[in-house]
Amino acid sequence: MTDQHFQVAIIGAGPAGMAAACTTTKAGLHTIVIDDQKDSGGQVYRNLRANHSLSPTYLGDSYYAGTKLSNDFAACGANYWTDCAVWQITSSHEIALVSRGEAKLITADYIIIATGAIERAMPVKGWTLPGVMSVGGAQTLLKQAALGADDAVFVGSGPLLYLTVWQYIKAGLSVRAVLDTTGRSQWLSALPFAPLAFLQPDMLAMGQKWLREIRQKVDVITNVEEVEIAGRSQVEGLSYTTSSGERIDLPAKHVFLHQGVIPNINLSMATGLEHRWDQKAHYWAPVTDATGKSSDEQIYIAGDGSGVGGAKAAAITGQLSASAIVARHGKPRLMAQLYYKLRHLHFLSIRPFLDRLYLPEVQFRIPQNDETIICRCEAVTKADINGALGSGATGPNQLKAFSRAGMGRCQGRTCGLMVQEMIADHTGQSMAAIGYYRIRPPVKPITLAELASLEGAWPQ
Amino acid sequence: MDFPRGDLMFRSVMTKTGKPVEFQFEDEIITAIDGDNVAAALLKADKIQFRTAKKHDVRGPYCMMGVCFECLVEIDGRPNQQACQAIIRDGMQIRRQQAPDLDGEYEG
Amino acid sequence: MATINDATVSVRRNTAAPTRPVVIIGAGIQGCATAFFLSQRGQSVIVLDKDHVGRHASGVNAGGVRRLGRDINEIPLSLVAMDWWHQINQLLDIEDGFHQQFYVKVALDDAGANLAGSRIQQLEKAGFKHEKWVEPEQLHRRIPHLTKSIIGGVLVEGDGWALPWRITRAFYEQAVKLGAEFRTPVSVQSVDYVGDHWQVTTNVGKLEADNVVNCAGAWGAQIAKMVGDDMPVEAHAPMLVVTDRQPLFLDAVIGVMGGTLSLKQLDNGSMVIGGGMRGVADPDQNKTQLTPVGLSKFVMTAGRVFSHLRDVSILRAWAGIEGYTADNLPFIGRGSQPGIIHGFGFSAHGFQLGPGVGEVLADLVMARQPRVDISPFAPQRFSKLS
Repeated sequence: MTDQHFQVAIIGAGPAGMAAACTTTKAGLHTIVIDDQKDSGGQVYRNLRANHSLSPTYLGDSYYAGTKLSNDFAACGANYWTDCAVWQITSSHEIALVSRGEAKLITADYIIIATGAIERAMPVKGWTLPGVMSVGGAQTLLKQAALGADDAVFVGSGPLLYLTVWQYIKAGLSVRAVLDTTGRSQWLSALPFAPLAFLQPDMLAMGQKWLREIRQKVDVITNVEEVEIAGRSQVEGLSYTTSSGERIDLPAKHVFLHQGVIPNINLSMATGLEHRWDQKAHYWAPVTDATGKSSDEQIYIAGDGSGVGGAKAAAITGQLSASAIVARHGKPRLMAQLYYKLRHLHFLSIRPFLDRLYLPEVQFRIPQNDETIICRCEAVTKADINGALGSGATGPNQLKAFSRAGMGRCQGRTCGLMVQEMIADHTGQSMAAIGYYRIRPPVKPITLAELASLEGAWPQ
Repeated sequence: MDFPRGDLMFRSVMTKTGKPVEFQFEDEIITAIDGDNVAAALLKADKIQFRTAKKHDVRGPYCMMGVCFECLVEIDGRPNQQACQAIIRDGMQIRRQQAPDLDGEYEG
Repeated sequence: MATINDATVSVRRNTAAPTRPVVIIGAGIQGCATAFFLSQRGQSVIVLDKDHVGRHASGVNAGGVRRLGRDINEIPLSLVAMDWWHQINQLLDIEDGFHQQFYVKVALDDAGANLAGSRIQQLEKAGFKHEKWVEPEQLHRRIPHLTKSIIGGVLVEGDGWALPWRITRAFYEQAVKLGAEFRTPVSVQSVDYVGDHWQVTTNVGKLEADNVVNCAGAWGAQIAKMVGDDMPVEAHAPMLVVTDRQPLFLDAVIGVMGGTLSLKQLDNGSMVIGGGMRGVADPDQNKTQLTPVGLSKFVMTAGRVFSHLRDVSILRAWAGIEGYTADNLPFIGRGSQPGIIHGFGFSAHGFQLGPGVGEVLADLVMARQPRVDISPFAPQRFSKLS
């Protein structure tokens, strides 16, 4: 067991983690960045440094906007451990991680959790069939492997969906259709916040440009409802209902689903930090102050993991948390702090509009069909969950024991909010009152030999 | 409902260079480029069925970022490897992962 | 020693409705089992829990149902409990409630074998013959994947495992069917003797009772203090891990002589590995924390028993909050004041005892003589010393 100590440990090398590391190293703090991927960039700037030499234009300006940050990070001098998963943070700020088959413990004075966001589940019938992928997954294939599938159908809502469709057509891929599930009621609730969104005209203009160029090549069908994906052992097609009530069948081999992103809270929850239910964005987020400081004085949360704000806001929050830590080391940077705070507010100005516009309707948050799977890992269906509710499960943790939902490898990342909302429906309690699964280490599965390596070599 | 065209598989949108390597998936030899992502290399070869969760319940890659654990395969005899997080190496032996005590239901 | 025939309890309902119910504090397995036996005997029961049924150690322990390795003083109670386990399906109207297998503590080396030898001698002297030495050849035949270097073990036929939350819940459900009332989450603030009965003050009102049963586990000492009994327990958090599903290979529960391990495989193929390594318990906040080094210690021990498990993934780890006494024996018996009955401090081996404890506590409430000697568990045994 190596016992290494750092002044700052940053978990995640996306925009928030990279920006934070640039700030702490500049101030001379002994910093380590731990990331489970093979290169920096997180999901948004995934594979950016490798792509940059080839510069495929189809990935667009918003992707290459991360170039400077990626380069700065590569040059900042922080210790940087790739391919390395954190599975626990203890209350004494030991970080337990596993890398290349071996577990290690390191310690740090301050920890910045910058583990980003994950996609909100979109549990339509047939969503577990091979050939169905999340839009984020499809985009990762494009960024990382330059792979795309012709004639795919994109279903859902949100900026990432349109960005990816735009990237697809720019890459010369044909797109069968975009089925937009945003309802009229979402437009109505979002509109009052549109003026605030104009504080970010470039973001709005970019969205407009994507839409214009997509519409020239792809059928974009709006107000889509009742989406069902058909197939036996892989996708064969899908069907949906149009705003005029017509039922349409589409043959398809690839269906990409997306309806926004939510903070990836498994590590912050397993660490025992306080979380709050954000009713308007409809997700759990850690409780933090303006600098990202969590309920544990030594732990900060930066980036989308503390509340979704997008890549630019994430980088700013990384700088905010890092400069707060630098200040606590006796190097106050008041002007920088103020600047970061204002920039952060600026980037968040579009969120009230987006959060309301893209909060999925209930029919897309909870499966409509009894056989639809909710917990993908354990293959637990809506009917199974209802059965558990009927036999007296009153909270997410009891429901876990009754139905096995949330007990698989992903540790509830996919089904957590669905299960919680079904309990809310059943009991009439608020989402905040019901709470979330009790998340425990290991935050990522770890093998027996990996865990035992803290003690020594696995017996032969 | 029409069955989808057979050619609708993942394809490269950019010429990639690198050392070609061969790996085995079930009983088939597939060529990829050294350092490719395992899930991507399989998808490019039109292998989209990776594992069974239970009988008649086949799964394939979903999130591609290590969160969903749907792309689990057996690599060189080690089960439960996330294909989306693994790297192709020459001579790698990859098998679909069956739910314990299950005969899988794969096609293609 | 008790036999299964003695264990049959006739259902006897009082014709005159009792004026005051029995109040049980704590809805873990002991509280639920006590509520069940009392309700079965026609008593009116109210169970209070500050959280919910089976929330702590009773819901999340390793589920070992063993007579193996118990303190000599605890064996008679464990045997009585085992009678109930053998009829648990009928008792609680469930299926597959108890997975009867065998439980073996293997000897990894000579030191382990010596421990085993003296243990068996000690038991025989006391008249107990349920623990038996098993030779290595036989052991390896019965457990094919066992590491070759293991040189035998101590075995009890018929021990096994159960799903803790399921059994605790089944006791709860049957108690409710028989008329017991559960109020959760309700926390007890004080227990006072007023005139001729007890008054239990909670965050949602007061209850009157002639008998109050303290089954509050790690929080039992706090309740005891409210009625003037000094019964110290320390809260600890024994840790467990559960793995992903493996092909079925094991139909026994495995421990290690002189070591900390309990390892079993559930029907769905998952393995549950524990064995008493303690995490950090914070009973005031209802929180536990796992210690990575502690986890690695018992997982390494699992590796010394089954090295073929090296690439098996741990999906979850957890710890329940449990109350430990200074001698690791529970408190079971009457408090210093009439009408108070204690049953807590099971020191991480109370799950198997549950049905037996439920019967004994019900006996004490109803002023019957329990069929086992409970004097080693006397609530006053530490306060006398001081």
